[in-house]
Amino acid sequence: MRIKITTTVTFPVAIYGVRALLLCYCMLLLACGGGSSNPAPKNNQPVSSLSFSSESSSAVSSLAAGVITLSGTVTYDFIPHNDNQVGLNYSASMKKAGRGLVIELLDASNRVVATTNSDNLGNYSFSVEYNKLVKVRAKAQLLRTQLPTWNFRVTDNTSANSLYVMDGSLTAATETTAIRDLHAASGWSGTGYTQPRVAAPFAILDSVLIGADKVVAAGNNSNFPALELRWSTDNKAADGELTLGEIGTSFYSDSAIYILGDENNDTDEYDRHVILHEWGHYLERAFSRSDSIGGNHMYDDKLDIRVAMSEGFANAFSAMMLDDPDYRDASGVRQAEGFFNNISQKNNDVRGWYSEASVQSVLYNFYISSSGKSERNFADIFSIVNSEEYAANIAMTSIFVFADVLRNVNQTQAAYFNDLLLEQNISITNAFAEGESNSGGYSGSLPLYSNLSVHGTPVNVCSTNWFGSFNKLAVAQFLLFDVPNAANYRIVAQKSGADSGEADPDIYLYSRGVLLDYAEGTAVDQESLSLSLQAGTYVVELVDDRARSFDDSEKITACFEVRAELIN
Amino acid sequence: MLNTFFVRGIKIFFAGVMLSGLHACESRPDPAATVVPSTEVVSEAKAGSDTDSPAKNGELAHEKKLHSKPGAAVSLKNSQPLYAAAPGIYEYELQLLSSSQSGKMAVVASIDDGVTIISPKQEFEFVLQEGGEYLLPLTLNISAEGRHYIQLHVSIAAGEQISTRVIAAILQVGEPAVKKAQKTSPETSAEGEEAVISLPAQETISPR
Repeated sequence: MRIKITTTVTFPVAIYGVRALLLCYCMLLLACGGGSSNPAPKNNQPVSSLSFSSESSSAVSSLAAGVITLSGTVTYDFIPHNDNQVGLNYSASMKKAGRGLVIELLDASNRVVATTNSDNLGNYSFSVEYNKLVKVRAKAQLLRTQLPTWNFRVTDNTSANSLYVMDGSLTAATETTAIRDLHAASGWSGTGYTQPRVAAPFAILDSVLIGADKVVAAGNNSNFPALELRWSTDNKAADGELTLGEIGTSFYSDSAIYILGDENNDTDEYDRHVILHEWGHYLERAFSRSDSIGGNHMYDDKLDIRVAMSEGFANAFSAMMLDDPDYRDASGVRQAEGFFNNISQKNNDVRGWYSEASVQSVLYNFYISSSGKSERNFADIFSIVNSEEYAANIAMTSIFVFADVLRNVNQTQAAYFNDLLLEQNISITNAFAEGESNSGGYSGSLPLYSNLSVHGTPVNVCSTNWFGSFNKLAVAQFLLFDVPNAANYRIVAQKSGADSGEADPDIYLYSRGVLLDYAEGTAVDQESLSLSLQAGTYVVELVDDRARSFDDSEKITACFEVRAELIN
Repeated sequence: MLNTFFVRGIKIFFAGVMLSGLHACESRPDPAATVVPSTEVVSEAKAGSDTDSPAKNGELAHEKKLHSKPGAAVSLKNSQPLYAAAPGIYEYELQLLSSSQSGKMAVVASIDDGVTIISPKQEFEFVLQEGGEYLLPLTLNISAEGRHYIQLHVSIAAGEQISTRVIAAILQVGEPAVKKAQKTSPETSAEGEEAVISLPAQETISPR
């Protein structure tokens, strides 16, 4: 049967009600030159905005007797940032395709009768029993079953981690209802979000899909670990109960990404760099390695080397995935405020291996360069962080390790990379930063790794919160511990020299980034760790717990003599 | 007007003093250490079993791996909830910390329905300095029990770089609810499938 429809009818159902709906059906059926023996059913489903149009002139193709093709397009509202990079620009809202989503067809009992995925244009298609009452559901889920697989879902941490879905109306599947386009609206009415923020979960997923596609294009053929992205309109900047939305800020932990959604304060669903920054941390864990201890950070901070690498990578990653160096984060009343940062910037106020601004600048400028490589090819970076040499390096993850691995695998590319390092006051050296002379203004931060040998001369290191507590430069100090033979060893730290107050040293021992053991005792000014070790090289981390946990207003510096002993 | 408040009895609470220990539900996850392939035979990873002094607590102080987004270097000195037994007039003093040692910090305070800031100053500006603590005295008229949030919109300008961060202080008035009412009832699909939150589509239905 081929039909051509020339009538155009558009009715807001909410205004005209069910009678108008039936009238619409009748008009369309008449236009089709007859109708069906099966009466068009009433649509009793509450739908926020449902309209019927018959602008299409394409043909209907029933696959077989009693079966009809039902198809449509899924879209969502995307809100870009203002041209000056600060705040969201609602007047520039645009429709984007809901790509790669799980689309379900549900019957009147809410049973799933068919499942498919939307394509890159947001299109989907089902074959369904003619006249069957069905509704289309777009799940906030990216599911890919061919290799490499992925499963990314947007859930609500304030509602038992339930999955967001967008539902169409329950309507009989006939020729007149064969095309069902679903749109996720932002809910913005000009002065605020007065309607459900349906678009938010789909905007988040689309950012993730940009990243996933680019990582696959970069050569990744490993399956992506499943990930939940937890977003809620109640997710606010208070540190407290996650189930109440008190998430503090958008962050990644090993189980999920939490995303702010608190209108007029801080929302991140349209901040693509923020989403991809956090997803970059997920990527590190999934396909690379990060030894970062996390925590708050900013471009002009002087950070723990592990944190500087991870945050600099995540910032650069977001810019690389979007091919947009302007990292933007909107917040404030009507989401009209916020800040931006040019990831490619080279003249950063703080430059060095401890600066996320330096790390992001080096990585991003390497990405866009064509010096010995194809420009804007993420494969050049992914192949390094995904390599065994990087992921199983003895040294803690840092820009030095990245550079060292790059030099080993591609000297042509390394030449330009070295130039970028020098621009950021980072020495060209090995993974352990031997010979690095940039101390960040504190001589005790060098060397990055002191050598600790069994029954050797005790090594003096100092832990300080001079640059801030927890994850800032020189809170943690690292020692390379060479174990000649398998045996039981003891590592001892004893405070040395004058210092304010009672120190609380803690010791951690790593093998290739894996924490093997630690000592966090309460003894004053001293700590020891005894354990059995195989021959090899380990990293010992020493921290004064006061420098780690005291707030920034109380400056702590404590120095320790660290020695290693053979027990038996 | 303040005299009236004193007649009613001003209850003074300071941030960080009246802590309620309200955390009872889901806490922030402590992720496991990143595990990568190791070609070296080492002792099995463990949790401090051979330490030579008693552990401080059950939590590894070293690992609070929350990888947060970039934001202005500012935080509450004490992020524990503030507590008020009942509605009334209260004075609070929030303390901000910043590791930034130069530049200016602007703070705008606001709060949700049920609480009004009645102190005349709701916007603050500070010159950042080494070891600085920045005080935000706020007088609040609390008219409703429940969990409220004092929102602080912070902007730090240092050189040409501007960074922002929103911080919210929790204010619990009265006893915390045992369980928060769900704002959206999850819908359980047929046959025991996953719970979902159904959002309405703007749907356009048309013939082919």
